Amino acid sequence: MKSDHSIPGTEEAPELSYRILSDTSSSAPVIVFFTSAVVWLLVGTVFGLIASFKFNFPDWLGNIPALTFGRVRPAHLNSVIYGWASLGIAGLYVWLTARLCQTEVHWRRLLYISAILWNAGVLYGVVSILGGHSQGIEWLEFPKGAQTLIAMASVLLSLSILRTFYGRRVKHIYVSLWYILASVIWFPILYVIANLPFYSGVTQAAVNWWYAHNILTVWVTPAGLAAAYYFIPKVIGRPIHSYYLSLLGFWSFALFYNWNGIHHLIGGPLPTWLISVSIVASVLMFIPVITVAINHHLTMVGHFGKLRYSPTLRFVVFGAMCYTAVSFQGSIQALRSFNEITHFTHYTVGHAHLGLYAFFTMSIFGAIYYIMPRLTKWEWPYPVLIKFHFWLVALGITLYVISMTVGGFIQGLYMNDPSRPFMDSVQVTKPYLMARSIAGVVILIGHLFFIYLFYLMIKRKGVKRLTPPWYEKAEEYAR
Amino acid sequence: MTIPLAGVILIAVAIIGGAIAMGAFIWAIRTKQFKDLNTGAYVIFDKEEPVGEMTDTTFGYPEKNNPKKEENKNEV
Amino acid sequence: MMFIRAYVFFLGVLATLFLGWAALTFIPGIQIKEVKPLPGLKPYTEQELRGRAIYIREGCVYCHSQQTRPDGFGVDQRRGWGRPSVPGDYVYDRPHLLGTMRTGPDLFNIGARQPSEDWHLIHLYNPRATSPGSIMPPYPWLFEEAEEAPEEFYRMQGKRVVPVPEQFRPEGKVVIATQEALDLVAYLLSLNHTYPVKAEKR
Repeated sequence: MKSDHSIPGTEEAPELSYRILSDTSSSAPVIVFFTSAVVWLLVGTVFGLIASFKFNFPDWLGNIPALTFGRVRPAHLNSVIYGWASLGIAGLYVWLTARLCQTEVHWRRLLYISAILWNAGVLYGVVSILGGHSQGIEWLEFPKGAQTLIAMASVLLSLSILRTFYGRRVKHIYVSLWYILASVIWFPILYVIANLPFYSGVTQAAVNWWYAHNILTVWVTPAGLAAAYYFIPKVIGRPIHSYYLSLLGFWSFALFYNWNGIHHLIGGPLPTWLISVSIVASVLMFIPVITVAINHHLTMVGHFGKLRYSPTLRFVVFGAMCYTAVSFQGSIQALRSFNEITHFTHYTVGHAHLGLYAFFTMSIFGAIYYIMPRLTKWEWPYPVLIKFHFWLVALGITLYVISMTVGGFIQGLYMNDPSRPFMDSVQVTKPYLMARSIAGVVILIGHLFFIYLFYLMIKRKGVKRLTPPWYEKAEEYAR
Repeated sequence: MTIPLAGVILIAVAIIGGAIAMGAFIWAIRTKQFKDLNTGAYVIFDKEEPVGEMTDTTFGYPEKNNPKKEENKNEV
Repeated sequence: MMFIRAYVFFLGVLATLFLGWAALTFIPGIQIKEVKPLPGLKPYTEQELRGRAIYIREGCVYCHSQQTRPDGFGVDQRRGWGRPSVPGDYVYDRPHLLGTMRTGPDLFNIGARQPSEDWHLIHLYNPRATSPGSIMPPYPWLFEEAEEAPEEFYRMQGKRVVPVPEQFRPEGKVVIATQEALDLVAYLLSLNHTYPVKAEKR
């Protein structure tokens, strides 16, 4: 392939000039996405913590309408999903697409507009929820205006990514790119369909949970998997164990995952066949999950010692392991006999955090630790703080998931014992809810370390990255 | 016995979807999409960042960073 | 070739999402659309709808479900929470409030289980006044505080004094329900689905 963008000093290796080109051109938009994501991470964590403490001290802040539990909880969920997760995903997708297509980011202006609209939408939405203007549908609480902004932002993001893909210089489309491309096609469609104003009654419940589970299918999980499929082999320097398995994993994922949602309504007033279909699909999820788990494990085998050297690897491997765990848990949880106990309890909350935090958020942390030095040309200052960040959030989320899983299970057993008054099922969870709040504090402290590091990175404090001389020239070239 | 409308739609969608999927599969076989599956795994490596070298060592360099030779045997 | 492959890929990706959508929302939507409201189900009154909006605003759905399950799946029946709910019970629900958490009890038949307006008002003002050990948040902004006076005095002005026990209200004050509190309680009391269901197809 002839290089039409040859950079002085890289004539010998055209791929190299492409990589510089893609990193340099993605730099500004990706930093914008990541910075706003980190702000929403802090906001979301604080809301989550307030909501958690409300279980322990129900009268705390009890006379402020905006901070009542029923408003803070959706504010937490929406700011972490549409703020932190979505903007983090946007940054990851832009950077990774340009890299894997060995080209520059196209239509960058759309990305800036997308970032502005996205932030405006989430801000408007969260303020509306706190002000009492929620739509009242879980995961879709934002008012129509905020949803319109987010829908537009996601379309712009998708357009830019698809345009970059169209300008690719590679023949092979790497597996991470499959997940990204599928994701940027799926998400805007899903988001718009779910927000159409046609539904009511139990149909709306079906759409609601089809959507709420599918936002994991089409948006969160592909991002985590794209990160794992790229960073694990890339960091340890070993190709993915079986490319064939990743192909199988992708298509079975695409086929089964988006049939899962109705397992949130097991036992509910919906047609039984519908719920059964969702349970079957949930169990079939074992196929893509096992293929991914085997593939990542066999890639890592013999290289676990490298976890000592790379923060990215630590976070992403932690995330990939939790993906296996959360998916197995999810499939089992969908079985009627098990669901009978865990339905309506905090067990589900533990499951959600095992997925969205232990798997997804950890993977995104890993990605940010890898991507940022390549965008700012700056090394992470104070690697020891990265270790603090890792251990605090890893221990915090472990405590969180264990306390919610155990507490929720016992809560379910009490709830299903008609000889006990319902209040017993509330009382029994109290120590677990307290443990959850403590876990939340630990996680928040971990986030503060991360945010401080990220701030230093943006401010370019610390050590300049040791780069080969052509790097400077590349920067000049890209201007 | 009348078949409910939902059932008719379901069957129609299943037949059309199945036909398209079958077509895509036959196309994929004919154009040899499943040959040479492993090359794809190597596209993320190049001369500057080759197989066998770590690309992130923020916590310090490994003492022995020798690429394992046996891994290169699959290389195309 | 490269481009055909990309199109086939995108086609597959769209097909998987479309299949899921059709199977899980579109087809059941058609099936459920044929559902008629049950004969005993009354549409919400204007006041109940206002109360429902407050139920949504304060996020009650995050801790309370509104769906009862059949015998053999959970113990809703043995707790006396009412017969299993069916699609016909929800025809007037927009947005739906089925809920997926039971941090607090199910409310599908709360109007039948706890028909006392006083109880609900006290409970909303301070849940621990009626239910010791509860972790439900209080909703004091649905109430006003006024100088202590005989109830008669306020009733003459058309105000509803809530009989909150003395230790749960500020000293020398009485608690008066706002229109919002009365609307919300009206909605809660309307949650009464004890009318019979004729063997309905599910």
